[in-house]
Amino acid sequence: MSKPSLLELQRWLAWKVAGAKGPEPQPSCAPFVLDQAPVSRDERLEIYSHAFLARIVENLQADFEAVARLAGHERFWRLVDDYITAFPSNSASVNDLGKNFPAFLLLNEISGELPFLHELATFEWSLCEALHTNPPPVAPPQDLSEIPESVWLNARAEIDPSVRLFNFEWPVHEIWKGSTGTESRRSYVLVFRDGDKARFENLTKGEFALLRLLQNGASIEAALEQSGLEDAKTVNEAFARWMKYRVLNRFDFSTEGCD
Amino acid sequence: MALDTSTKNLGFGAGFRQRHKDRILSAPTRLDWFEVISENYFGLGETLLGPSLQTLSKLRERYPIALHGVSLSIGSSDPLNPLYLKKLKALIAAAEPAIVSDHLCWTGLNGHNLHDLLPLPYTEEAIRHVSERILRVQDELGRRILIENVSSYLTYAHSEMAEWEFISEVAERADCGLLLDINNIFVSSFNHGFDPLEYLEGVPLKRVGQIHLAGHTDEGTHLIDTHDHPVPDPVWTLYEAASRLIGPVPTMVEWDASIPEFEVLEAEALKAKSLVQKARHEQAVAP
Repeated sequence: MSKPSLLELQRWLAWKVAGAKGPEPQPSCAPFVLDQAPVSRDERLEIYSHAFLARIVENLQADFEAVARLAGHERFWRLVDDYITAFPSNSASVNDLGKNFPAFLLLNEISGELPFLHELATFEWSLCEALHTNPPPVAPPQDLSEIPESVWLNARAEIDPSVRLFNFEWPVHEIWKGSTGTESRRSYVLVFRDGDKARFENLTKGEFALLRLLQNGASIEAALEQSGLEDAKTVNEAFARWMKYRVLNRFDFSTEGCD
Repeated sequence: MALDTSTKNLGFGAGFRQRHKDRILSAPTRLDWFEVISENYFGLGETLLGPSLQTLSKLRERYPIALHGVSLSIGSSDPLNPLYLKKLKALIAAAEPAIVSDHLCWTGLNGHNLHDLLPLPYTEEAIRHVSERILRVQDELGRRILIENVSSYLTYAHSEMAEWEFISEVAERADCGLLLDINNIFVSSFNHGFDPLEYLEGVPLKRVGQIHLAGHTDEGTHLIDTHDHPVPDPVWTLYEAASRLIGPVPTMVEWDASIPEFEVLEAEALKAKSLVQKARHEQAVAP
């Protein structure tokens, strides 16, 4: 038997480490891994395949803590095993590992039993994404103290790039916090980065619509009209909150733009 | 490319981990420098760098740093990943590290990353392949890198030489530096039954630009490089021997799982310092 090339060896070992799924690459390189007592060839290979899956599980467990808790330890391992087979990592960083996990869960049979799971995973992944989103370039502070109301109404908000808005079928933030007895109930959630933390806020339908419209470039006046938010106190409080947390970074007071 | 001797006097450091971030950035430590994992500062997807670069900048204001990669995959049969190199180059420009290193291994194939440090066969083909790629990486980055020996759990029947001969040849042909992981030498020596001192004496010591120390897990029949324990006594003994042979070289302690309070990690690095001082003193007074 001639010795394998580096490519042949790596093709075979990659298959073995990733769980030996699918047909065995040829030539098989098993004879080129020494069987050295007291640790057999299979045990030596198992060290690598176990470490591979354990590392993926560890990282996804950190990113999808609530999904892992609800799926249970053994089932989460199986889910991750199936996931990494369906979506092998193509990134140098483990931070990217979970990007397809919510979509994977949607198509997995576990979604029949836990129908909110893919929305929960979407929410958890958005927290990771928010955390890894670069802040916008630093701009000089704006003096907003003496802006006339008419100018305000024509202004457009610059939304922080970390902001994610969700219209979920389930009360995902409550499930994430550990709520049991879950029933389907629409929820509106804002996720954003605050310093070195990812935060979220449960929104009303009106607040969600307002932020979505602003995110899409509507003027404040148009966004207020279309969102159906009429109570000035509620609007002022929401703006104050979003400006405090830099969800709304800056305002553009030029009259250009489109509604 | 000349050997960068400025790394020779970095002193004693540790791996910078999230758990210790606030402690390290909020008050002085007794350590001289920190090593960070390069990929932790890369951006998601095509984005070159992520927001944690701000933390790295704060660390860099206080200490010299080393960038230690885990996904260069220098031994893979895949082409070198241009996006990876672009990210690493951007990180080097932003962080101005004293040392840049990665592992002498491969981590994936066909564009898929297994996120594991997989061993190479010790063959002439692998030497040619890896050394040529290190040369290209060093050209691309415009600086010398260090390559680290990994722990291994299997032996290839078609290997043509010992691991230390393989590493020596790669380092000579690539004209790169070595990051000598003393724990990895010990773990592999146990798993494969070679003499760790023969390993130490077999590598080109003048190329050693950094040393790693760490703990491992004893599974009875074999050792696993887990970085979740204090540095064990046999590894300290091997480190003393290495420091006598090599002389002053930046040394750091890695602790990646079951991470203790920062002061425990700090004490491990200071133990390394005291052992080196003791060895130097003994050498100075020897007849």
